[in-house]
Amino acid sequence: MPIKNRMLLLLALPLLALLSLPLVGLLGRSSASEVWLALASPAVHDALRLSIITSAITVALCIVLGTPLAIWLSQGQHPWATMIVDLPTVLPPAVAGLALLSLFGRTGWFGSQGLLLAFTTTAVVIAQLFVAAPLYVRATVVALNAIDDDIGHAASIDGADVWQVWRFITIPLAWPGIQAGIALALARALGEFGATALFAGSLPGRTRTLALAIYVAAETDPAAAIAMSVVLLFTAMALLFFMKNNTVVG
Amino acid sequence: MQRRRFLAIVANMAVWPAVVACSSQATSGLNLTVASSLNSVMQALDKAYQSTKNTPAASIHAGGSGALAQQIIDGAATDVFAAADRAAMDKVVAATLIDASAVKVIAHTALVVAVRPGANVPDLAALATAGVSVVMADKTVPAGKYALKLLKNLAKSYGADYEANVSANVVSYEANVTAVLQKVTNGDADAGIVYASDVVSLGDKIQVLTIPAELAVIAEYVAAPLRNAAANAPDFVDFITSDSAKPIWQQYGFTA
Repeated sequence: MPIKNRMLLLLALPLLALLSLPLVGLLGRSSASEVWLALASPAVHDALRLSIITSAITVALCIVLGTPLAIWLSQGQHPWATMIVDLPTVLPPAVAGLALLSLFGRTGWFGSQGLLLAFTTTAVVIAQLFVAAPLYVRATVVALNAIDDDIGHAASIDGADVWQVWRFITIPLAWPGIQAGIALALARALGEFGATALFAGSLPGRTRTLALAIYVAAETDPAAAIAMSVVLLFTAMALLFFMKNNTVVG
Repeated sequence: MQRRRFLAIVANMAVWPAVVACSSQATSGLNLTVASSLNSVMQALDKAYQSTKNTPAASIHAGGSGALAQQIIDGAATDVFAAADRAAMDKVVAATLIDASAVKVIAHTALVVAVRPGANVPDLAALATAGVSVVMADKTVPAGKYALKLLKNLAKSYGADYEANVSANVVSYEANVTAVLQKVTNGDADAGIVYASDVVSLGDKIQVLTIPAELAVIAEYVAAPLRNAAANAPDFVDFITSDSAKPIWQQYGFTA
C-alpha cells in the first residue's frame, strides 16, 4: 500500500470508527437467542408486523405517486418544486409531526372539517410517506437525468412511439437508480420515528411501529429494545446492500 | 494494540478538555436529572436554593424516569436524581451509583384527568363512553402504572366494565407524561391521565377532573444525591425536603 493511502486511511479512521463502533457495540450487547426471544414476544411481533405492512404500503404509494412527480421534475427546471421535495429530508422529524398535525389533527385544516387521521394507522403511513417519498423521488430524478436523450431520439427516429421509448429505453436504463430509491425509501419508512410519535401516537398493534416500540422498551426492557434494534439494523443493512449492488450495475 | 492506543489518545486529549472547558464555562452548578413532571418545580426550587446559598444555577435534564435511570447507569453526568417512582430509583441503587440510605421522599401529587375544552367529558364516567379518545402513559413508565391503578380504583365505583371500556377508548400509550398532556392541550385527544402538578399552570387551556379522595392514586417522588456527586448535592436534597421549600412545592401542585 502506498504511504499516501496509509496516511489517508489514518485520517479517515476516526469517523469510520465513530460510525461503525456503536453498531458493533449494539451487536455485542445482544445474542442470537435474545433476538429470537424478542421476535417471539407478541409485543415485538405486533410492532414488526405493523412496521412491515405500513412500510410496504408507503413504498407502493411512493412508486405510484412519486414516479409522475419524478418524471415531471426531470423534464425541465423546477427549482421551487425541487426545494419542496428536498425539505422533508432536512427537517427534524418532530417538525414533520407538528406539520402533519396542523393539517390532519383535530384543530388542523382538514381535521376541523372532519377528516381526522391522528392516531390511526393511516397517520403512520402518511408520516412515513412524508419523510420517505422525497428519497425515492430524488433517486428517480437523478436516474432519469443521467440518461442520454440521444438514445431516446434515435429510437423515435427508428419508429418507436413515446410509450415504447419509455418501456424499452428509459425505464430499463433508469431501473438501477429507481431500485436504489425504493430501497432508501423503504429503509427510511421502517426507521421513521419522530413524526409518527407526534402525529400517530403509540398504540400497540395500530400505531406502535418497531421504532416506537424500541423507544418505549428502552425505558424498562433494554434487552428487548436492543434485540429489536438489531432486527432493524440487519434489515437496513440488507436494503443498503441490495441498493449498492444495483447501482454498481447501473 | 497500536490502533486502540491511538483512539484512546484522540478521545482523551482532543475531546475531553474541550468538553470540560465548555461545560465549566456554561455552568458549574449541579446537574439535576429529574422526572418530566418535576421540571418546572425543580427550576423554582433551584432558584430559591441559588439565592439562599449563593450557588450557580443548576442544569436540569428532564425525561421519563425509567429512561433517565438508564442514562445515569450509562454514564450521564448527574449530581442529584429525582424520580417519579421507586422502581426507577431502585435501578440506580442496584447499579451501586446511589446509596439506598440516601433516598428521600420529596413530594406527592395526585393523578387527575385532563380534558380538552369542548370535549364531551363532563365527568369521570364519560371516559368510558364510546367515541371518547383517551391518552395514557405507557405501563412501562410510572405515570402509566399509576394510571392503570387509577382505572382499577374507578371501576369500584363505575362498574366492572369501566376499565375495559376506558381501555378501548385509549388511542395512544405515550412514553412519558409530558407527551400525554401535549396530546390533550393541542386538542388531538379528548382526555389524558396526568399528574395534578402538570395542569396547575395551564389555566383554562384544559379542564381538570379530580378524583374522589377514597379512589385517588397518589404518586410519590423520591430523590437522592449520587455517590460521586458534587459536594453540595446532599445539601440540595436536604433543601428541597426542608420546610422552606414547602410553599414552592405547593405552588406547583405538589404536597411536600
